Amino acid sequence: MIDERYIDLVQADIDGELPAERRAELSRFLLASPEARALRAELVAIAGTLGGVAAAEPPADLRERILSGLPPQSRRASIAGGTRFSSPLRWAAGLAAATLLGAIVFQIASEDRSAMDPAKLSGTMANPGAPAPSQIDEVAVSLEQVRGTVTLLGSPQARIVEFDLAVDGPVEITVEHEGERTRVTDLRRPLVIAGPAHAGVELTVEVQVPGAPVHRFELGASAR
Amino acid sequence: MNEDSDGTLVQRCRDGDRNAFGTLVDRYQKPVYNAALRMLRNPEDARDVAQTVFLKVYEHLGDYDPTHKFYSWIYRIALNESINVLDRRRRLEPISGDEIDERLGAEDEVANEQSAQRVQRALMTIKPEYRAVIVLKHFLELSYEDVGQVLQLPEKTVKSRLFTARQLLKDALQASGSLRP
Repeated sequence: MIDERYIDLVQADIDGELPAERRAELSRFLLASPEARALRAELVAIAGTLGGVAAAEPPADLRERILSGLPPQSRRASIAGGTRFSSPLRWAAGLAAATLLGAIVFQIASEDRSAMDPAKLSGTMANPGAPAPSQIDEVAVSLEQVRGTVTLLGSPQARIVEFDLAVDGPVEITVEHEGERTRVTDLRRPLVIAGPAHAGVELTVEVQVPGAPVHRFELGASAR
Repeated sequence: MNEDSDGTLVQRCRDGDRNAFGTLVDRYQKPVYNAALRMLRNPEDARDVAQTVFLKVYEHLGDYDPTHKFYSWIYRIALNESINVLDRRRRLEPISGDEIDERLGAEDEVANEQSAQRVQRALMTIKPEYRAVIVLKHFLELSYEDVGQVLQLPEKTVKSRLFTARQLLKDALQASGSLRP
């Protein structure tokens, strides 16, 4: 049985990653250990066998297929930065948020108009001129069973959490916001949280695959 | 003439320069395709994976962290996509490894040489997580550090996984007569 640190030495030598200052140590070890010499010969043989496999040329039409399959330029520009509110889903979510908040405010205002500060009503009623939510933050999720992005959008009325995640297998996703936890049951539906965005971490998205540790992703204006 | 760095090309893509993305495709289509091919063996699947990888890269360029190496990112996506295909294969066609080899071998247009086919067959007998380190180290010629970045593993784990992968591959190669015992 060869000591693990010597295995590392032999392997690093084969891989061209042996530091010069450790070469003498390896030489001494190889001289002293027939097992080590056998291991080295074995690794050299494997590397030689793999090295005999030439790199394959990609199909001639691959480049064209890739470039012709890209989404239109306008979408690219929206991803690059600035306003991300480009997809119909996002517009729908934004409109839904504005309408929902407008309805809530309207109801409150109807019940107790005297208690409502007129200044607070400004811009809270659903109206066509309401500003579109803009992206506050986005995190990439790259776990074995969950991949994609979670985006936080904000408007004066609400924050919207969008999930663009590909899930492969059972997974539990929870959004924690100001001590309240909401389990996400339908990733296609954005989560709407009433109230304007604040500075700092707004919320935490927890992703848990059964039997694996919980992964937490913070979203907010200065989450990173 | 100096070539643009990956970071420069990514920034140009973010600014809407589609030609810059074409340059990234030129630069990475071969290693991405080869990584997928060695993971999957089937050239058509490898082509589809390569196409998906570049589409995902394009759609998520805004998420790319320029403090990391671009190729670590794109290779990680390539391996993840390949593993997704392997998972789908397993779910759709719960057949033995031998049957997969025989069926795909008939369509194999790339590994024409007999020895290359034997190596590829041996690769397919080891688990994807071990195959991935072999692919990254031997076919994409990445350093331990870069393999660790792609697989999001500490370097120490990369070394031990690589050693195990080589031992498993050695057994498979010896069983197929590609390597003398």
